[in-house]
Amino acid sequence: MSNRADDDRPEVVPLGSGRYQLNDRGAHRLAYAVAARDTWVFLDGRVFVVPAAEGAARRATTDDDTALMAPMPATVVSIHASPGQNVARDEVLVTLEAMKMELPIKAPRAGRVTAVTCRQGELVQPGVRLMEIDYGS
Amino acid sequence: MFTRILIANRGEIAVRVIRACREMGIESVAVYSDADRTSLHTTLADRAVRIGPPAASESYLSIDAIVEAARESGAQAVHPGYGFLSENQDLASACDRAGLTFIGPPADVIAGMGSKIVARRLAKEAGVPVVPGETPADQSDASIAAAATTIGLPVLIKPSEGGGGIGMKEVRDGAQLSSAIAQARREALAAFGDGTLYVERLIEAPRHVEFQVLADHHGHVVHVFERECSIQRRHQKVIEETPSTALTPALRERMGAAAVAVARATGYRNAGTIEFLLDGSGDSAPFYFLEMNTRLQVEHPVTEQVVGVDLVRAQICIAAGEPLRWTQSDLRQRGHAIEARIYAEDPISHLPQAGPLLLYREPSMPGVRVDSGVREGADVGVHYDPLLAKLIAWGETRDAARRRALEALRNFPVLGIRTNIPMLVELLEHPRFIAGAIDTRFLDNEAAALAARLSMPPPSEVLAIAAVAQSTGGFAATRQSATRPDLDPWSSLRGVRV
Repeated sequence: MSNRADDDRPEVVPLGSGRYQLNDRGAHRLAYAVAARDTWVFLDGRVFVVPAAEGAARRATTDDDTALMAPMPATVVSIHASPGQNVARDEVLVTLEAMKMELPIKAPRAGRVTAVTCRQGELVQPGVRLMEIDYGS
Repeated sequence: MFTRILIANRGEIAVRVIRACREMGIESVAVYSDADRTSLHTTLADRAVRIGPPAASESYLSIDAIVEAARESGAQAVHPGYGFLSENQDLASACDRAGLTFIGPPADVIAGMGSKIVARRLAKEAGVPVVPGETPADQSDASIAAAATTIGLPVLIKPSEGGGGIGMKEVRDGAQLSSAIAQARREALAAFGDGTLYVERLIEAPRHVEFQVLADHHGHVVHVFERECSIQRRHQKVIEETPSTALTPALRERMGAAAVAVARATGYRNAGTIEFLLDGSGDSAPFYFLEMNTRLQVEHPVTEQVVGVDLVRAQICIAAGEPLRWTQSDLRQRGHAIEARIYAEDPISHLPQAGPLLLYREPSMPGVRVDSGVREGADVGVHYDPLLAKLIAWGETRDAARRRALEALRNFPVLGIRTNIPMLVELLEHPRFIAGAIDTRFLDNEAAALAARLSMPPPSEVLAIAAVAQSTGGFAATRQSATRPDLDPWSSLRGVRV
């Protein structure tokens, strides 16, 4: 993860055990969040259910589970695998940056990369394919 | 005193009774269905007995299973909690036959108060007003109209055999009387095959104010003051408080005396609650007996906080034959308490919710009490009442209690299933609630406006928190990071800008 402290946008500090501190121009607020299939956030007595990402939701409705997709609007920072490469489960394959944070996109299962469908520096939308992976069967 | 008590219930009330037993040096025996094998009440009790499959009819509502569990576990008494079999005279009778003490009133009192007709008659005989109404012997239109005039407009004309609001006509204006009678008669005949009509005074926008009573086996009866329960949605209470903002000392004394009179007239024993409809406020405001609940109420903690009486302990002591520890003049109200019920329900659609409590953290702060039946990681099922917990805030004044309740709810994260906490926050901030200007129609009237305020999309800071939570792999990962600093991607960071 990268941290760019040179602006005054809100800062989110994970405190552990589902607690997050929101720092906004010197004011602190405590929030709670759990990322499950959706992400649940509790802030000041309000609860919000944020879909994991548009892309993740769309993936669930297609038969195509060979594609690795962008979970949110993001920029491709780096690509860590190339076609033909065998990858392990949870291996970081692509690093995205969104909202000033780097997001590692990991292999959901072990498999072999069959195609890389994104470019470094590209702005991707939720649900856009980043890589094709053959998981065998 | 008993040495072992069986609790014929589940959820927060079972936990409440288990805790009282433990404080009194009494062993507790929980009963559980297959759905509650690992529930809080099951694991907290000294012993636990399985009583059947998840369906309540085959477990928590099975008198045979409960009496058998009591016998098998060597319990001497059965506490029924509220709901389930708590107002079932057959459980009380079965306990008597099995040589068990039922912690509640005698079976015949439960039966009498369970009948609206008997309860109404007993209240009248005790000199306590009931909502004026009658079924005129002469059922001619003229006689019905005369009855309406005697009772005084506005009135409700309804089928004597009716129910569910069918054929029920509100009449505010004498000119509408004859057409309303004709229409109610037609609808009554069509729906129930019987055109007999009942005429009742219509109490518009009443308050629901109830009085707690305690009665021992030695002829002592006291009331433990009122609870205001007007914040309800379709007869399901949501927020309760004491004292009521509508009661003056003189009115409180009149209503308290009426409650004690009803309890005496029925030969009541143990803890019970007399419900009244209150029409207006002030010293001479009319009130009417509605019904008596022959059990502990969900909202009993507000009384405990304000009067300093442990009602569950009192129930157990009374059942053991001890005399009441207080006379009426010993009992005083001190400060104000508000209870908010936390339901597993969608705050907008009000549909019950089931699922895992991914995160559940009770607030801990001065003057705040949480009575809960669940813990983090539990699965909330569909089999039983959606009440998860009750949050009770005490303060020197009503506004102090309200602010504490609000602050506590803003620090009561429940994630994984929807709860009504966001709606409770809105309610406690509502100008009419703040002013105490509430009646039983308040929540139904305000439901749409409250829902609109709760429907707002997540603001940007919430999206930022969600993004960080997602990128850290969620709660499980942060928990791992906390215990494995070498794996913690955050350990080298002061924070993450988003």
